[in-house]
Amino acid sequence: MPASASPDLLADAFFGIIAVVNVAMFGYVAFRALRIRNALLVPLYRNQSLWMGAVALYWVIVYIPLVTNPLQANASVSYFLFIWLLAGNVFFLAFYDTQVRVARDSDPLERDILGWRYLRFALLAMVAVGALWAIVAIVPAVSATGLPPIGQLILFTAGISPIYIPLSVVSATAILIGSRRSGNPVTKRQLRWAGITTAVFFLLIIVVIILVSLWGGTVPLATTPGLIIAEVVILVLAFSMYKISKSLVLTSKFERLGLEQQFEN
Amino acid sequence: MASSGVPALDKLLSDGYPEKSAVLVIGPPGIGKEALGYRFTQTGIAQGDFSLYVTKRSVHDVLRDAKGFGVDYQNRIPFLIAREGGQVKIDINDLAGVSFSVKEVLRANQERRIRIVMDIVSPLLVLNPSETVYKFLTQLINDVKQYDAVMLVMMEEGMHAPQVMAAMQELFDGVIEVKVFEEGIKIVPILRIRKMIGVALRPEYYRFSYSREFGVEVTPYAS
Repeated sequence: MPASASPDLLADAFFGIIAVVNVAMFGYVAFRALRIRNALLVPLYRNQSLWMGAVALYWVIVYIPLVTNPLQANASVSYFLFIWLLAGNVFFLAFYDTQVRVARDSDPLERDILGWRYLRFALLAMVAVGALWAIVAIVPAVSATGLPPIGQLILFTAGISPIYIPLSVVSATAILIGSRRSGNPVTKRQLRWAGITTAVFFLLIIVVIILVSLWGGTVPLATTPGLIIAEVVILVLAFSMYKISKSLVLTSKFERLGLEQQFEN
Repeated sequence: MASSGVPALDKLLSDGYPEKSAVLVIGPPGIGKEALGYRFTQTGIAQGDFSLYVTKRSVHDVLRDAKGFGVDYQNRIPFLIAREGGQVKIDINDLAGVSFSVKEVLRANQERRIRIVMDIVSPLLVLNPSETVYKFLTQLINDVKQYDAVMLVMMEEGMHAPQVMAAMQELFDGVIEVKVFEEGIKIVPILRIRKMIGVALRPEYYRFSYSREFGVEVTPYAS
């Protein structure tokens, strides 16, 4: 690294590398989850993989504009991202819902977790009301700030964060309870990582809220330490999702049952 | 022979599961091993056999799950021993009670050919010492032989210690594995018959799949 490299340049490089790693990890998770979905036959488990893939894809789509930064040139991309961020609520809810239902299925006593069979509808109603509120109130307010699209996007993210807080806290609790009750070690491991993912997501929301409250719209965003902290939290999130994808289903290798073994039978 | 309800599997097994046999079906959660149980009981009902399904789940969940595999029992549902909604209610914590309920039902229907699907062994093994469950299954397999029955027992892969799985496999007349195999980027559900009493097996991998059009299918898989 040249001695004259400015701190901003270093921060940009760090930001870029983490972003690329995150995109690669989320991309892999989406690919693997959707491949596993094709191999499963039970609708609940197929849905679990589907929504896992959707959440990973959500992050890829949130990230690509940040990595390539077309937002400066194209404001319509940021409006697409407004909608995409709102759609994320649905993806996350469906992801948590399938995780909790798998946890219940994996409990030898099939106990309901935190009254989830009713709670899921309350969370759905909350997400729907939150999305409506975001469209009616937050989008016009953010657009009126006159900030560049990426600034608007971050303000919008902070604005819709309150919807995610109860969703992630309740879901993380339910998933971790489900993990403790699960009778299957593979599912238990998967649920534990799903619980960690949800808890890290909650941490990310808090970081975003703090970041925006400190930001004030003046400091260049890509170089602020706060944004780098957010990136690192997302890196942890990507890693925990990678761990879920690895334990989504117990897989076997053909090599273990080679031809010689086949003919032994 | 008792037809499995899956024509391709019947062909592999020389017309179905052997009479008076107990067959273990092993697979991870979500792969759809229960589909074999649903098809087996549905075919039994159609042939006039007495079909018994023992599950930890509620009847509502079982029927919905079966429908997902194209098995609509309509008014001819199997006799269900279940946690909720079945003809006999069981408490999965009470192994003695489960054993008593199953034996009573078998005794009451011994005049007919009996088909049994047991989908509670994995939770029983989590909640009870494996020796106790082993004894319960040994007695049940004796009843299967006595009452001219054929029994399918579902077990979850990865849930139990290898020595427990090995002991269970020894106990049964047949073992069918339904697993998710990973080969490079390919992830495929595979069925493999590890053993089956009285059946000359061709040791091959078969792709295990379900479609609305063709139902549950078992087709040769070239790795």
